[in-house]
Amino acid sequence: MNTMKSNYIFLLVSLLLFTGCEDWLDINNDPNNPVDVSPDRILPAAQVNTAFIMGKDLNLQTLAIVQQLAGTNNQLLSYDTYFFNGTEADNVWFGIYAGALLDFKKISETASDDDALYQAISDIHMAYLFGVTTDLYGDVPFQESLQDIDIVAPVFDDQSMIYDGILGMLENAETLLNGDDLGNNPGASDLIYGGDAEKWLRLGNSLQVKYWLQQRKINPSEAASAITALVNGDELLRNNGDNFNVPFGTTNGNQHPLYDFAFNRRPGDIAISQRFIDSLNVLNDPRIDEFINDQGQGTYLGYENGGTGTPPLQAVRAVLGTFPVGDNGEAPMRLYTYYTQEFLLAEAALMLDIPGDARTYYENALTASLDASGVDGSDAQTYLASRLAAFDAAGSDEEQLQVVIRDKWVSQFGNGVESFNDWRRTGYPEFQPSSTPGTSDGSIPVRLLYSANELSSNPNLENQSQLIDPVWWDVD
Amino acid sequence: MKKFLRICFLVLFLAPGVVLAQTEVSGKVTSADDGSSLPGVNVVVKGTAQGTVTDIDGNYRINVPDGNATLVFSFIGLSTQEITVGDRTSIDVTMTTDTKQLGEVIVTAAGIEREQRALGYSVQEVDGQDLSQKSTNNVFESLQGKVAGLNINQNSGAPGGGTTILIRGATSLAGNSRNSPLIIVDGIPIDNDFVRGDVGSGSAEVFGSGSIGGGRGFDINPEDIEDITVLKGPAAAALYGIRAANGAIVITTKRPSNLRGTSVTVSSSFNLSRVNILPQYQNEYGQGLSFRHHSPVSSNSWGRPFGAIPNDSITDHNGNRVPYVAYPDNVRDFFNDGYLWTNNVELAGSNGASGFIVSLGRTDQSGIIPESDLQRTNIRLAGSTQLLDKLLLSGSFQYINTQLQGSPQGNNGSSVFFIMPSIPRSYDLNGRPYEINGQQNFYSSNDHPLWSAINNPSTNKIDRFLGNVKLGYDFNDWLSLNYQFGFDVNSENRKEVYARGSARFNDGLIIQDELSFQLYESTLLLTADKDLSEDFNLNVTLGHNLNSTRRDRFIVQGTGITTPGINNILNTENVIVDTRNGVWFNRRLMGVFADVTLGYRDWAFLNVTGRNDWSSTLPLDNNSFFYPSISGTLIFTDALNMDSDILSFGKLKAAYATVGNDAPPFLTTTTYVVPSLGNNTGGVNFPFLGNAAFTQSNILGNDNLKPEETSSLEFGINLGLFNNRFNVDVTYYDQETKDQILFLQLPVTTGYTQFVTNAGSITNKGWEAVVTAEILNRGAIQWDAIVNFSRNRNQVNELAEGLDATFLSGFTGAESSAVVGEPLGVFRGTPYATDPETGQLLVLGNGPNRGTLFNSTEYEVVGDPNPDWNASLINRLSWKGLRLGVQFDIQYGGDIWSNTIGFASVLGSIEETAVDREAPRVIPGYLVDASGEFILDDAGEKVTNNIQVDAQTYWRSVSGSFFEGSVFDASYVRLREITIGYTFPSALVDKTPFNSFDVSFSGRNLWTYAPNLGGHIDPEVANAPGALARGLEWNSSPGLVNYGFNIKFTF
Repeated sequence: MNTMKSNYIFLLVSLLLFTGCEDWLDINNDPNNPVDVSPDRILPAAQVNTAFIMGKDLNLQTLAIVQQLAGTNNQLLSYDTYFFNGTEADNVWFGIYAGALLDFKKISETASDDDALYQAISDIHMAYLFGVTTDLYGDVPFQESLQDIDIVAPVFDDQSMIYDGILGMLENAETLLNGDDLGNNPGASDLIYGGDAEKWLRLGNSLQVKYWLQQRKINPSEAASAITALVNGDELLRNNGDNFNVPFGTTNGNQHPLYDFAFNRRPGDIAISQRFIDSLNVLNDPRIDEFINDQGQGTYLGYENGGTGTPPLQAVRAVLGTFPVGDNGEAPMRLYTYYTQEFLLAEAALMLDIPGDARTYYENALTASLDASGVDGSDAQTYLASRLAAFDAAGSDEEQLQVVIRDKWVSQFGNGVESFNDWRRTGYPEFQPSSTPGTSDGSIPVRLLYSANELSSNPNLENQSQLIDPVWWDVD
Repeated sequence: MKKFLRICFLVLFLAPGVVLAQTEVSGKVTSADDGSSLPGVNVVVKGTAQGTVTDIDGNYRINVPDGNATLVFSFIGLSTQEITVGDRTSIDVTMTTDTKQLGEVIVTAAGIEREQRALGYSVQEVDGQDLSQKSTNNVFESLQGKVAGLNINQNSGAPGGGTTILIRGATSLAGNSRNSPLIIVDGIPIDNDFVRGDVGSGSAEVFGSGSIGGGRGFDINPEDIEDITVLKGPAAAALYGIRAANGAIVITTKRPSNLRGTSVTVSSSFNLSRVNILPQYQNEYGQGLSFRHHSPVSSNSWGRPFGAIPNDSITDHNGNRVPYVAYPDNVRDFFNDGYLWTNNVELAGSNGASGFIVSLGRTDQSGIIPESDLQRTNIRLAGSTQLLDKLLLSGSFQYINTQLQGSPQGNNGSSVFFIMPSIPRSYDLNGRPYEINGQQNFYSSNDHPLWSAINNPSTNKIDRFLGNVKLGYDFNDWLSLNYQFGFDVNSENRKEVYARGSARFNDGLIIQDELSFQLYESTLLLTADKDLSEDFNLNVTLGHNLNSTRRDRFIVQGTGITTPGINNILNTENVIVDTRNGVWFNRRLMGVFADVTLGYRDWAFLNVTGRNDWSSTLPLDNNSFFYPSISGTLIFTDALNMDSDILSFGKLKAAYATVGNDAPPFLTTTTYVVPSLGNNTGGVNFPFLGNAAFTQSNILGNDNLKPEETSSLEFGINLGLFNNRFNVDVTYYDQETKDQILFLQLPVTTGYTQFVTNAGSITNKGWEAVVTAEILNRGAIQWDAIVNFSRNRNQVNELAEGLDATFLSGFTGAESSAVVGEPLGVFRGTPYATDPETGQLLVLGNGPNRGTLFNSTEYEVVGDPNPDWNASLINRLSWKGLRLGVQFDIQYGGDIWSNTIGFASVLGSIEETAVDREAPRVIPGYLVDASGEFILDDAGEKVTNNIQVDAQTYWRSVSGSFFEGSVFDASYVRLREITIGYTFPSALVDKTPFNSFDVSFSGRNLWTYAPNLGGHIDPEVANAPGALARGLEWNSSPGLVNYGFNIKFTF
């Protein structure tokens, strides 16, 4: 073969082989997963994540402890009998830290500093989430958290320090929202308030009330003066329209997660606590039909907390009703409501020295709760009157507190975390442990165990916590 | 045995000699292994130049001067035979494999052919014959035990369950598929990864999935295979550069011959598959707890003894009284006998210049679980033709269609293997209807296994096209150019259905999962092979290689089935598109390489290779990596001119190589993903109420990512003894893999759960030995034996800074981990709490659980699935037309974490728990209090436990799924294969239309001895597929035996 010819051929072949090499190899960005996203497209994910954790895993764990649900099988039965080992917290911590908190941090970073509304929404949500976390688990990572590989092992901060941080974030949000130009508005991508800055301001203030009240036994005077200032500022939630609720829908995959669990996935695991049913029946509470569905049995067939005896068959047992989860999963997740606020103010009026009358706050709360659960007319009036009578008949502040908190527990059905906080802080309602308690001394847990994944991966967490070890603000 | 040489010019054509007074002798040459005819065999009249070659039917015709003449029959790879003619005019000859010939040419990396004697690294070859008709339709299963250092595990006992393949030891932490060797078929690296199908998360992803299937490697038809070369380590596979870290399995399919004529081969097999290893259940106590029947829905078998009360009965879950008796075979009788029916027809022909092979194969298999089966059709066309004088065009195309049906697997209440271990001893599983009035009739909230098999079907339809086209041009006798383009394109169409009322998805669920895979590979080789002088030979190969691999996926789920029985995804209440959609693997590689071998007098060789790869999965500004290797061979018997009958061959070899393991794609950035919240107990999807949204991924990317790097050093010695009747090949290797691509587990409080980075190092060191022996070769009797032995020591030397251990696979609490200082894949979980001084157990001295074990809060290494050593012993005997082949496989050491045994112990359903059940017992150990402090007596000494507990309390304390008590040594000896066959003599066959006829009986895994498993589980079937979840046994299939009947004939 001719040398010239073979030279040309080799040249041609090498050219073909080496041109376009760089471009041909530049395919390492996943076309479906973007590197940059605008904050209004992160916000719905972050809010739904918050509602999901509160509505499913934390609800199941705490609603069993506060004896409104009873477990008949699998994990819910374990929660009901206080058999926790930390693995049940893995999904929760994942959803909070790697899900909601990280997303709110990203919203804060990708929105500009001038977008005060976005920054405030981020602050309020993060404060709320850290609050939920520390109230349930005690000392948790706060200052050093969410720093990816810059801080590979975040330290666990004292709960008191976290509370300072939470209140700081809420105050910061208040300042931002009182500014003139709030920057870009998330609009419909804010699933909770639709971009209504007024409502965010009121929520932020109301949450400050909550977190001051929570620590009233440790810092009674500071709490009193802070709550007084907030009440006087008159920028708290006004009615059920200001509720901190995340909506859900009726189509599968968009339903309230507790509905999904109870009706689609694990109907064999869940029943309504007989103790809760009895408590409602004893006082002829008209909300019972909205809270629980008797599946046409004419009577509410509940199950005893603790898993002893045979539960009623799935087809006839009492199940969750329209108020907590909706008829088809469309009930919102009520993270924090107007009536919760009013109950808290009633407690503050009884236990601390704040402006306003405990009875008025209590009446506001109960009225709003009856309204929110769809009970009105004479049923509502009758019940309200009977409860106010009970309040009046109670002698001391402490006994009146018992009435208030007991009704708070009922009204908040569907949000177990709030009721778990309340019971720990006040001791009401007075529960007996479930019939087969798994704690070492047979008492009801006063906290949840740390995530097992965190225990194995974070050297700053040396030991698992104890279920019977109270958190910082839970003193007698 | 047919052995087609790819280098046809080695077949000698000898001109017939001068014809004097001649007698014509004719006959037929066939293979002793299976009776097939042997074309191309040299037939020479000894001492003359007179000779011929057998034709495509194995027939020959030759003139001999007189009866004293001796005919010499020879062929590369077969034992030469010399036969005196005498007064016969018809002489048939059978020839056997010559296991000791070392002049063989084998296929090595990049399709380059080498003489075995010249190789400085460790390679082992298996002939296609040894993989055919071995009571399995998966060629990788028939490879078990045949190559030292090659470990193959079945993933599941169901039809279509694939295999996990590992050479030497695991090297990579970043995923199961990253430990697999390359599987090359005719030069194309084919797809063998198992893509998990489940739509859950966490452990469900690992332990089988909702959908069924294994890697696509098992699509290859064993009848189409010519041979398989296993390149055992980096040195052998160095020319694959960035993909070579785990070695390579090079499969060559049958090539058309260039001997004139046509032939047809038909092979057919029928095999039965039966349950052989099932937990040894106790049949003395039935459903209940504490010797009472406390509940009709319990899975416990701690109830009262059978026969304690005459005509004993209990109330069942429907409220009816049923007899309370043992049903000893309630689990066994659920399973069917499976069968495997394979048929293959191959038509081959040639006119001398062009040849073709057409092959058609069909497999029908039915599994042990009702409604599980597989049908596979293989169609292959191979051809080669001499286009011009020096231009050869060849190619091969295959179409493979597979249809699988099965029931759900995995760790959920609809999975048959999950349900079976928890059935109480007194439950009549098979005698009661599984459905009453359209509702399931089962004692527990799990699905009735038969109902589940019928109503929760998973189907998988796979279409696969494999092909390659090759052009070869010889410039002259020492320079040639070869170009090959190949593709592997397949699509899987999976559908999982969970009926309304199923345990896993009560409202029903339909999942449609479409996967597609496209791989294109282009290789250009320029080869020069020239004698530089009388003593020196130089062989240089330059190559250029391109590879593009891509996977796409689309998953849709329909939740809430409206009309039962109509499995159309639109017959659901809500259709959701899964977030795992789109391109999820996309990788392009470009490489250039060179391979230079210098040979001195054919007894010393020096080989140097280098390859540079550019990969798209690495950062664009740093994506080029270079991998060299060097190896040397010295055949010292030739060098020293030794001529001994005892040491007839001796070779020393050494090799050093550096190779890589590419990064998975899309890891150089951190992205946002579409959120998918929750798991199988409840979830939320996006778009949510009309809102599309993204959430930050929980995996942190790394724009400084590098490939993993493995460097390996090998030494070997190969000795032929007693005129090469015995051959010993021993290799020692030491491999280190650095810059592991690690998904570092971060505490979730950092906002992320994983960070991908390069860190750490893992070593694999070990020995491999292959001994082949021609024990007997006298007249008609031949006896050969092969022993394969391997021993690998794996150690994780370091992980990332500050990281001592990381989770690989499994559940938190029962996991396969990487722990610094331990072998890869050790089990971590809760150990027995013991006294550090004496090693005694710690027993609770007070409290409601007194007398039981103190629960350790530690989390430690509790077992190691890596075996101490593996060996297999293969014996082949033949006598006239009869042959016998027996293979034993042995594993010594290696643990299994058995959830089946652990869980069955807690439930009280296995034999051990019934021994003296009514007697109290004491757990030996020292007493401690609830916080683990020793209880001391008055003298300050530790107190020995003497608190009695009953059997139920005892077993529930010492066993359990997440606990050291469920880890067992899985050493075993198995009768892996047995073949008894008969080749009909040609005298008989010639009277029929056939050219050869062979029948055989074969069996697989007929006998197993696993002394530490109590006979409860199969030591090799662990349900989690993959090298990184080795030994974790959850919901596994019972052990099976396969045996059957085969025929093969040609005409």
